[in-house]
Amino acid sequence: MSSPNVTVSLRIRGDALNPEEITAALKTQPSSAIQKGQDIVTGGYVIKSPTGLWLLKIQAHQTDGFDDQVRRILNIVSNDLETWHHLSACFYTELFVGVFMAEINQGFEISQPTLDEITKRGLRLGFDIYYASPLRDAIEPVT
Amino acid sequence: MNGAIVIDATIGIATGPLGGTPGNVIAMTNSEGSGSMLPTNARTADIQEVYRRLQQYQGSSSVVASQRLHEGKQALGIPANANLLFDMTGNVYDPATSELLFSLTGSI
Repeated sequence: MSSPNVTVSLRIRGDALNPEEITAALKTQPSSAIQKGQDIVTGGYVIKSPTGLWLLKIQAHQTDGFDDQVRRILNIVSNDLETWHHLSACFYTELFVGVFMAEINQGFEISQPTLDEITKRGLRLGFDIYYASPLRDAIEPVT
Repeated sequence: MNGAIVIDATIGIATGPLGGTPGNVIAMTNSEGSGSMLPTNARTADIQEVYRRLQQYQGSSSVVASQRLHEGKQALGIPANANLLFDMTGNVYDPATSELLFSLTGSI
């Protein structure tokens, strides 16, 4: 059984979120950040951001597993646990995980040290799971 | 397609805690600016059909469509287990407000 492609990002969201305060607290610049109600351009449309969001993405290689990506993200941001407890009490803090399966049955494990680092910071895990196979596309034509 | 009404489109609802009911819809789009809405008389269909049509008419594989869906949810702070509505052009809507969120035909 092979492993799916996994992408991990750090998201902090909340209606009262001020991106500059999060940036100062975590001592790093986000990939993107927005306050609730600010305009976002999405493919030619302009919408109002449904919530405040501070997002940190990393460039993941196909061979990077979940543990590797979590370690890289947590090495970029502040490791002050008091700061994390404050953020996790005030906002929705999570590792947003995209899981892209290319076969019907795939899987991966999360190591105990990685789980410890996630738990210490009060982070949630959100798994966004897809089964998207080029082979399936080929055998399921539109009728 | 400015302010056009798209007839005989179909939307899909993503799987999630609240689920959804398959069916066909009439979807309205307005590509000129903000506030694009899905009409309240819309009926839902299987998301797999959305993917198949995107592949046929847009050339987007299910792999690409999945990546765009994930990136859209990521960028807007949408929870992983949120329900979303889709029309056959690849537009993604908030089922609670019927507001357009993003499109599967382009990167957010």
